[in-house]
Amino acid sequence: MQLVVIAVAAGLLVMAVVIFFLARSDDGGSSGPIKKSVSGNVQLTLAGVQNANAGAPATFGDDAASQIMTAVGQYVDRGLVVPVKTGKPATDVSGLFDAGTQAAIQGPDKDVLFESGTPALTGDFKPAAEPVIITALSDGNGQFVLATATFAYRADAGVEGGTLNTARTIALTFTPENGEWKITGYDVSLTRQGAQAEGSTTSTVKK
Amino acid sequence: MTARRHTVLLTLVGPPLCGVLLACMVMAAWVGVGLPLAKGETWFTIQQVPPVAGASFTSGQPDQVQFFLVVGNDSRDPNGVGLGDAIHVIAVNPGAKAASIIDIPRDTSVGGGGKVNSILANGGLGQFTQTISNFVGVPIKFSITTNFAGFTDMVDEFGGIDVNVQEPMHDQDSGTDFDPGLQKLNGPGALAFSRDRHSFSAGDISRTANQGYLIISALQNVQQRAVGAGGVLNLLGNLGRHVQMENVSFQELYRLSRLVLTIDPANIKNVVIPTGGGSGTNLSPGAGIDGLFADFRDDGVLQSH
Repeated sequence: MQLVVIAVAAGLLVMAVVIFFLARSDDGGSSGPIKKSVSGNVQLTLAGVQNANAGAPATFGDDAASQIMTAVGQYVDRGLVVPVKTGKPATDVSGLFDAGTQAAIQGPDKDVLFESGTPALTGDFKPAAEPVIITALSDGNGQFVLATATFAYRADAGVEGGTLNTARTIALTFTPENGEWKITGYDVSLTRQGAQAEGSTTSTVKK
Repeated sequence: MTARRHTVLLTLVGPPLCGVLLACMVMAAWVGVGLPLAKGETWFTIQQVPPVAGASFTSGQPDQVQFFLVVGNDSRDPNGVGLGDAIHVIAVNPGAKAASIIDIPRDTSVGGGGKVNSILANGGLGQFTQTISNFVGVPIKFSITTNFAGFTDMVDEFGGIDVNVQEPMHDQDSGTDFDPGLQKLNGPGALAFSRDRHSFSAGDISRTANQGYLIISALQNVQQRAVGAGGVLNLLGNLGRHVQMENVSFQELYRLSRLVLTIDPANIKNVVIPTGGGSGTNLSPGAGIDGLFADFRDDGVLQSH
């Protein structure tokens, strides 16, 4: 009887240890928000941070990296995923950008920066993203003044006539504004292939 | 009897047929030009999306002509500032996507005084900038200077600069040993290229022009390497570690860098100021300098030089 009790206790102990380490590897300790996906729709994680120091060596902090990753996740969710799912333009994205960028994101760049005008979904929608690389610049005093988040995003959307493949390479440059990291510049290139991309053989007139 | 049958047929079929034809024409017009129907709803749409597109923007980029000063100084002390021996006023015109470089030989006598290069060593970058600003007659927004160690380290960390050497350069004093053609210059090589005046009949004038040409070559190298936005931050980190700066933040440098990277090097003119004889080895400003500065001053683009 005693042997059974000891065996069960030992088994429980082993299970507890395994669960403890599994939980740790999921959360990543104090840098959890960086290692976990910051998007509700896409596996979007941080690949790493490169420190560009204009003065003495300085390290971009986890909190700042988390803030930027959160903003990147919101950009992907609100600007790229939700518009395809709902068929409506991106909303609630202007707060991610600084004051000097507001006019530009409402202009012709809008349709590249955010998903818009894509055909209605008739099949599966599969978005995916490569891990994000942050390059952060500190000034001569060791203060980080600029940071760029670079990543690739792609999505396969089932639309009338087949699958529309969309790919974006995205670089969002952030600067602190009133204590928050805001997007102050961007470089986005967009490629579409497959059903309903201009130049492809499929086209649809919808009613 | 036959004519009456035709009339009856036309009476019966004609109006509906016309209606159908009219409806087809209207629908074709809607499809063709995308006219919205009443209540703002689109009945027919052709939904095709463009296959490729790009968007690039940097907040706060300057929209007016920018003048800034780049100075190489001769200090061998890694932390020192010596004589201002490589003096270049750069103008960038955002609207024209063009730039100009005015090269000032180090021996130029400004304002009737001695050689201009000594003002940097004696008065510092601020006073030197003000002197050059008054001389050229342009508002210099900011200035940067680097010394021998800073320059060579900066070029080496960048990975060298590809330069198309125009004439044979073989000079023991400066350390050049370059045949004409494309050469990849490391830090010491780029420094030697910037210092060599003995390989040319025009001496210091050719050397000063080469320094401006090296700046343009560096820009071309950055563009060819397509470093991207993150790469620009790395370059600014490299710059910041090896230069002294006056009146400029890294955000401003970033915005200006992004602008300059859009300029075709073919749209950058590089002109050495005209000089004449002066006392001793001093060079006095030469004939035509007022016209050059006026051409430079108005929009930063040299149209007649």
